[in-house]
Amino acid sequence: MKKLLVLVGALYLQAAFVQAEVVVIGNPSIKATLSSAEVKNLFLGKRKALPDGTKIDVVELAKESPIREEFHSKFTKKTQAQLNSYWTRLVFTGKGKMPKEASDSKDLISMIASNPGLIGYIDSSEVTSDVVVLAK
Amino acid sequence: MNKIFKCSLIASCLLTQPVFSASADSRIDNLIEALDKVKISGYLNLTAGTAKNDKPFFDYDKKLSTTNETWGGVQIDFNASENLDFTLLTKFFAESRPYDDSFGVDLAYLTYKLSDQTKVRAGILRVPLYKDSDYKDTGFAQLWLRTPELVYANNKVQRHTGIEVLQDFYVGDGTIQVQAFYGQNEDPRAKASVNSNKTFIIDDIMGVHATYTIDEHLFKVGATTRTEPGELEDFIFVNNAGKQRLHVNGYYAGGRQTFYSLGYGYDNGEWKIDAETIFEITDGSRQDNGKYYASAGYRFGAMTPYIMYQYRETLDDRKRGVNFDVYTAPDGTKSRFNFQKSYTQDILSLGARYDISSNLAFKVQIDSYGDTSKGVNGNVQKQDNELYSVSLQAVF
Repeated sequence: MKKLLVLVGALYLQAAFVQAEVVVIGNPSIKATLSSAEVKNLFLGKRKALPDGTKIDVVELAKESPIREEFHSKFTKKTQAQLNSYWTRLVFTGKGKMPKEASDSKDLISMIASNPGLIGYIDSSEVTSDVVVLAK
Repeated sequence: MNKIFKCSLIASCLLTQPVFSASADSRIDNLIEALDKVKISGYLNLTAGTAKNDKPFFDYDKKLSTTNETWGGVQIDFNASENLDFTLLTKFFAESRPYDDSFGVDLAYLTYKLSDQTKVRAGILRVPLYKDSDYKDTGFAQLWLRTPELVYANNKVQRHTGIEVLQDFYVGDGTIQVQAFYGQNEDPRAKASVNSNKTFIIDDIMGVHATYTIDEHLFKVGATTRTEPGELEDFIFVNNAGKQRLHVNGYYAGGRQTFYSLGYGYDNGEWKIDAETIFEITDGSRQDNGKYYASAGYRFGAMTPYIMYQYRETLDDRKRGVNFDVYTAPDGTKSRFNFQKSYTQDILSLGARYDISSNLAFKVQIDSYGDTSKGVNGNVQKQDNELYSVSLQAVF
């Protein structure tokens, strides 16, 4: 019985360990990798272009998406309430616009695949050949 | 909310169509396309407060008030073309206030994007006096229940009609945003003070501000100046006894007031720290002010307790005395405009913000206020008060 419990525990830990992580994706035409600081600057509206000058718009997943929470916890270090507070400052001073939203990762991949100026984030297990990983 | 509004609008249009024809399809497509260019945002502050005693403290007294600081705003952004936007912000107050309507246009401006790093805006714009003054009415955007009012209040120039340029400079991982502006604004207080039909204009409202953000840090430095409206003669009036007198605004007429600010902010997702120093320098013997605040908050999940200290002092006390600032009316009566030689004020605030949801916060704040003023005759007055406030603040 003890061995069985250890085995189940090990399998559970392994499953958790190999669980996919959130990654930043872009159109395959983008030939760049992004640092965490660059991702943060783009998703907080502080930058509108990649270091090579390519114009970029970011796309968020829907507010209900757990991937969105994971992404912001990893890159911008902000909760959804903190993000709303942050964007409220920009919107009501006319200094920024809230990013567009995709309903789910399929919708996001479709948007990015057809528009070289968009970047977003998804779970790494959902990456397809239509997009490339820019940061993880 | 925006989507619901748009869908409702489309549904309303469909219902008003007596016959659903092929041409209606294209009209609906056009309507959807047009509505996609419109973004509606809003905010609401519902605040209740009561003071410990009846000495004036932000317009509160011992009686509970739910209207003094209850207000909201609705902003419509219309994306007219790839580079051109129109923004309209309307605002409403639960309580009408002197010289400000209970509902009306707060801001209305065009934004033209010259490049990703350069924007030009023109219209009725906000005056960016201090670090957080651009959005001081949007409670949800701030940690505190209200901005540091000892520092930010008592400012009659909230907006100007003019032009401004926003230029971003990328420096390493940081960004410097420079905001330069020039405009004018009507001063209804001056008009009301002498019951005149003349339009009083606060002229030459101009300034340059620079904000540097890098990682969790924000640094802001700025200077703004303006000229008080009218000339001394505009403010001479005849009182109930038929005597000519000079309204206090006449003493300031044509004077220049300049605001310098130096601010710092830090936010790493857990700690939120803010500090600012402000100097208000005026012509003549009207008080120059030094204003300072510092605050710190720490987030425990959805709850963020915070502490803030504000301090305000006069800086040029030697300019005021018994023989200064005197106006002699034609009947020989003398009026003095500065009865206060100096004063200091401070507020210690303790509060907490609780994020009920991602766009709704509940806040509670206790403010302890102290004020010491010294008159030109040497008399000293002290007063203190406490203010207890709760607020629901939302954005959509």
